Amino acid sequence: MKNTKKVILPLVLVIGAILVAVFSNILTNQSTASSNHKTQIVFWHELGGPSEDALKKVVDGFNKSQDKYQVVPKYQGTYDEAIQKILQTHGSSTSPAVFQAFDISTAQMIHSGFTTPIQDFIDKDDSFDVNKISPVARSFYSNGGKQQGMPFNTSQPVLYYNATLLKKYGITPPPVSPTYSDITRVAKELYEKSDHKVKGMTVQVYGWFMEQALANSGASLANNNDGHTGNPTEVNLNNPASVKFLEWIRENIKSGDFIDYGSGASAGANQTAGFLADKVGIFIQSSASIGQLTANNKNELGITYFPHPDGQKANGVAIGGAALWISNDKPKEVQQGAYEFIKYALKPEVQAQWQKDTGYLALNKDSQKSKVLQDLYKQTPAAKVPGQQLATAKPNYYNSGILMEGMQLTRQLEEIAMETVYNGGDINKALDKADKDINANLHTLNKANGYK
Amino acid sequence: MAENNKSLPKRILTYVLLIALALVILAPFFIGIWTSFLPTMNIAKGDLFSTNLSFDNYVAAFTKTPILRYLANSFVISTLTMVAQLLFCSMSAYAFVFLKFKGRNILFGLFLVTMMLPFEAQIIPNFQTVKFLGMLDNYSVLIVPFLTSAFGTFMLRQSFKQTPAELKEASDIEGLNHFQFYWNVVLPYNKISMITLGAYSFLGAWNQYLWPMLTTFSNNSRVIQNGLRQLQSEETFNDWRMIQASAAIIVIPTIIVLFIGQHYFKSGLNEGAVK
Repeated sequence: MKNTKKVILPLVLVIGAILVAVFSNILTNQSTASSNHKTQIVFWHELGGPSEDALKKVVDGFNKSQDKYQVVPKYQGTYDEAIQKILQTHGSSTSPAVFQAFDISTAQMIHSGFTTPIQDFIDKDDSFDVNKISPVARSFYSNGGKQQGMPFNTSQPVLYYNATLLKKYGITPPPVSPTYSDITRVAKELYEKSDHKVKGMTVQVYGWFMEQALANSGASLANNNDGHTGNPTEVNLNNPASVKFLEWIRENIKSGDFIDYGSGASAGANQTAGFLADKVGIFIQSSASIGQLTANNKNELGITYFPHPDGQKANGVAIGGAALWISNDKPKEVQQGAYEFIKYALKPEVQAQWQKDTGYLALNKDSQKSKVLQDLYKQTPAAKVPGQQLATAKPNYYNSGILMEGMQLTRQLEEIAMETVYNGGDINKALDKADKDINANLHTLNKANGYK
Repeated sequence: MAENNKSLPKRILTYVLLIALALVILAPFFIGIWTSFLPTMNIAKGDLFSTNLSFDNYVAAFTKTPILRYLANSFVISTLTMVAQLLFCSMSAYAFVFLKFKGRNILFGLFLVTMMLPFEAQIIPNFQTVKFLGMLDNYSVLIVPFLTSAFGTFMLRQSFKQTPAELKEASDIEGLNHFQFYWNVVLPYNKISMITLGAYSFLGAWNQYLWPMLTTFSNNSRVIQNGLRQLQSEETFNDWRMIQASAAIIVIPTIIVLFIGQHYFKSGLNEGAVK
C-alpha cells in the first residue's frame, strides 16, 4: 500500500503530461488542416505585446481581402534572435516566406543572398506606386538602385517635452526644429524655475541617438558614404558632429539640469516613468513611444524634431524600426503571395490604422488624409510632428542609415563612449577608443566574410 | 538546546539581522506581486505603491493571451524532462557505482567533461543537429536534448556511493538481480537525492529561455518564459500590468514544486532520524 501511494503523484503527473501532449497535437493538426485550400505564407515577426495585436489586425485584413493566400504570423522573439533564426533555418521547411528584420541588420540581410529584392516584384506590378511610400524610409532598405526590403514598422527619434510644465513656469516652448542651444535654454529654465525640482532633460545612452546626431548634422559614420556606395572599411566616430553632440550634453550635465538614466531597455522604461511623473521635462525617444506617453497622461505632450547643431540646417534623421523581406527559398507562387501581403500592408488606410494603433509612422503619403489620422491629430496635435519630420527630410547618404555589418556591436561601443562622457571622461579620448574598437571589429568581420 | 543558552541581546541582534536580510531578498518579490494588481499607467509612472488594486490584470492575462497554452507546454516539457532525467541519470549512476567494467573511470571522466562546456557554447552544433533531424518547432526539440544530464549522473553517483556495501551484499545473498536491487534498494535509499534532482531538473526545464526561443517558431510549441517575452514590445507601448500579472502567474508553479520538494525532503530526514 505504502509503495502505491508513493507512485500515484508522479504517475498522475506523467499521464497528465502525455494527455496534454497528445491532445495539443490533435488541436494543431486541426488548425492547419482547415486552411489547406489557400497558399500558406508563413510570416515571421518580432512584435510582442500590444503591437502584436495591431499586426494581427493587418494580417486578418489581408486574409479577408482575397482568397488565394493565407498569411500565418508567427512571433520569433527579439529582433536579434530572429535574425539568427532566419539565417540558420533558410532552406529548411520551417523557414518563413516573408519576415521582419530590423534596421541595423539590413547589410547582413543583403549580403546573405537569402532574399528576393522587392524591386523585382514592383517592376512587374503596374498597380503599385512605390513613390507614395516615404522616400527616406525606402532609401534605408535599398541598395544598388534596388528596393531590397520594404520598410514596415518605422519610427524616427523625436524630442518629447512636457508642455504643461513649460506653461506652468512660463517657459517658451522650443521651435519645431530646435537647435542644441534651444533645448539647452528650455532645460536650464525648467530646472531653475522649478527650484531644481524638475530636471531639464535627459538623453538615453543609446547608440541610435548618436548615429542620428551624425545624420542630422550631415556627417557619416562609416566610409563609402555610410556603406551606400560600397562595403565600409573604416569608421570615424570621432568627428566634429559627434563632438558637438556630446559637448551639448556635457554642457547640460555641468549646469545640473541633466539626469542620466543609463543604457538598455530598463533605462528607456525608467526615463519614460520619470517623464510621466514630472521628474524630467525633455527626453529623446523613438516616435513609436507616443502611445505610452498619451494614454492616460494628464499632461499635455509636446514633440519636436530631433535637435541639430547651431548655425546649420537640419539634414533630417534616418529611420529606425524594421522592414519586411521576402525569402528566396520558397516557390514563386508563395513569394508572389508574400509580395501581395507587403503591398496590402502599405495601403494608405492600413498604414493610417497602423500608426494609430502602434505609434509607428504611416509610410504611405495618402495616409495623412485619412479620417483615422485626422481624428488622431485633432485629439493630440503633437502627434502630427513625427510624420512631418519624416516627410520634410530629403534622403541622402547621411540620413539613410549605415549599411554596415556588425552594427549591434558598433552600437554597444558607441554606448560605452557616451557613458564615459556622461561620467566626466574626455570626449576625444572616448570617441577615439570607440573608433579603435569598432574598426578592429569591422576589419575582422570583413576579413571573415571575405570582403575587400 | 543550544539556542536557549544565548543571551537575549544576542538573539535580538540575530533576529534583526535576519529580518533585514529577509526584507532585502523579499522586497523586490513583493513589489512585483503588488504591481501585478496595478493599472499600466501607475506602473509606467513608477508609482508602485498606489492602492488602485484590482484583479483585472489577471483576468486579462488569462483571457487575452495564450498564457494557458504556454503554461501547458512548459508543464508537459518540464515533467517529461524531469521523469526522463530521473530514470536515465539514476540508471547511469547505478552503472558507474555498482557495475565493474573496463574503462569505467575514463567513461565517467568523459561524462564530466561535457559538464565543463556550458550549454550556450554548444548551441550552434546542437541547432544544426536538430535542424538536420527535422525536429524544429516541435515538443521533441525541447525534450530530446535534455533527456539526460551529466550533472544528474554525477550527483546521483556521489549519493549512490554512500549506499552501505552491506545492503549490496545482503541483496546478493537474497538473490536479487541488478534491476531488483536498483529499484527496491538503491532508489528508495537515495530518495532525497532523487527528489532534489527532480526539482532541479523540473525548474531547469521550466526556466529555459534561449534554446526554446531559437528552436520553436509558433505559439503552439512556445514555452512560458518565451511567452512572457512576447508580451513586451520592441519600441512601442508596453502593457506593464499584463507583463507583471503574467510574471506572477509563472512563478506560482515553481513555488509549488519547491514546497513539494521541501515537504519530501523533511520527511526523508525524519525517516533517517527514527532509524
